[in-house]
Amino acid sequence: MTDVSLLVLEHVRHPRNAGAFAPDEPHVASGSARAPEGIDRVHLYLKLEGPTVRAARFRASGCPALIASASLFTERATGAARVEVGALDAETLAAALELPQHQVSKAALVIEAFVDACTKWDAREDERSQDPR
Amino acid sequence: MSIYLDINATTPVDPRVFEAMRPFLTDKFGNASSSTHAYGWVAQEAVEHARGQVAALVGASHPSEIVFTSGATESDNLAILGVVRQHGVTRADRLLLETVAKRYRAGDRDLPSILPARLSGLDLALIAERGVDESLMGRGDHVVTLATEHPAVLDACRALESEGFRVSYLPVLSDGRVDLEQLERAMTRDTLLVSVMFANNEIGVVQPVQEIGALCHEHGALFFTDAVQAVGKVPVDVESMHIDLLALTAHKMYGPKGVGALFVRRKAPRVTLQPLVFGGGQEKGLRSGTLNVPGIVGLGMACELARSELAAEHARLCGLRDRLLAALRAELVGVHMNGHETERVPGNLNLSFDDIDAEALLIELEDVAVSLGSACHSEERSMSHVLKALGVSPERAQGSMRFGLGRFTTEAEVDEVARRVIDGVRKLRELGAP
Repeated sequence: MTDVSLLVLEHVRHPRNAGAFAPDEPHVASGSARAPEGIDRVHLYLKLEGPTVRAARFRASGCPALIASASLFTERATGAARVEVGALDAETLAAALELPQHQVSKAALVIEAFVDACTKWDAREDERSQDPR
Repeated sequence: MSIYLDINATTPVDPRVFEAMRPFLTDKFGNASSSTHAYGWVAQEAVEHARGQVAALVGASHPSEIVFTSGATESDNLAILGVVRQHGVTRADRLLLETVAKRYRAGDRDLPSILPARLSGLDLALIAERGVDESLMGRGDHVVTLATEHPAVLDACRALESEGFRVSYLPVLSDGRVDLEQLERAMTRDTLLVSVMFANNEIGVVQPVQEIGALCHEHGALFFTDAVQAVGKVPVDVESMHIDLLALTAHKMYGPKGVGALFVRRKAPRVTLQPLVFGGGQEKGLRSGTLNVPGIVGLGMACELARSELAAEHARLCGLRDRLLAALRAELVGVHMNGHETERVPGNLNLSFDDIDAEALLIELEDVAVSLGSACHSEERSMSHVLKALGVSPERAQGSMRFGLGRFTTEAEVDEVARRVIDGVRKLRELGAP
């Protein structure tokens, strides 16, 4: 067995919030990120209700550190204000999972997917608010 | 249920081996070098008996061709460094000898002291008379090996490079086998040694050893093979395969750890080596140090068992391996075998699963012991040098897992592992499905 913490093991064996929302589900922001090499990639789906992340889902392919980071992230994001979730950084996520320093990049991929989701969502909202129809 | 499928890493000690060793760990504790009493004689007799058992397994013509060591890494180092340091002359050596020969001809006889120890046995009078090139004909500086060799071989070769010798690290074909034409092209009149492992430890691929041996002898090079993964699993015969040096170890064939052997050909050609360890002169001076008698007895018994059970065990393991592969391929798509499909040792199955990280799959397998082809040990994912040499992509390497089946692996265990792998791969693929 490779060196992984018990919490990582737990999240890989029992991922929280795995999957996506139904395609017709409204107010869902989604974003993704992938590592430059290998299969590591993550998709995040955030069900937004005003300033709050009402629910979060993820899909991830890759190493245990990535799966656990995505799983823990969705757990922390659920029910939290978007601004609070935005304050969560890769180091904090990695520390919570006891990831070694060289695996902080896995948690960073999840944060990158979150930023991607928010950026796309905000751009879409801006377009909507500027559209007179 | 805990299942051990990492037989290529190490094997458990066979109870019959343990029983053979037991007296030499208790009552028969003598030093095989003690020639003045029965304790020593008993130990020495046991060592010589084991030497015969090892020789019989590899087809050596005489037990004296077997040198006991601490294991395969030492055997590999002794073979490679021992041959090249004994017979090799670097380009820098030749330049130095040119100067020395000139001074010798001018009457200076106080020259051996300026030569490195490696060259101290040379006949300076002959060199001065005939010239460096003619008198050192056949003393090359070149070694040929493969990119897929074990680190014990590759690092020994790198050590030689740091001493001024040249090493060619040949690529392999995508199935892991050596390209014989390329090997032949790589050999020059300066090639002293060709080192190609019999069967690869990661992918289990068996090299065309007999053809390699014939090529080596045709070109005047010695042939060394690290046969750690092959001995006791497939037929090995140093005579018909033209093998000059062969490394093996006990703990890969149900013997104890810390003991191995090196076959060193004594006739046609007689291979001489420079030792790595100096001291009491044991093993005809090739490996000083008190002999590990219980370990050697264990190695001997392991060899005898492997020899008597080889054919039946080979067939049984091929059956189990094929059963595992068939079960996985029946239920899963995107399962790829790394290395040659058929030219492989029976117990090894190195597979890559598409869209799977093998570390994550390992967690899903729970108590199954296997090895991986790639790991997240640093910022850069570390990929097996063997898979890299085969041209396996980083994505495929990330999903690579080595299943090693052995003497104590049962059909029920294989079926259970297949079930866990299938469930694990399905779960992880679903988790990442777009």
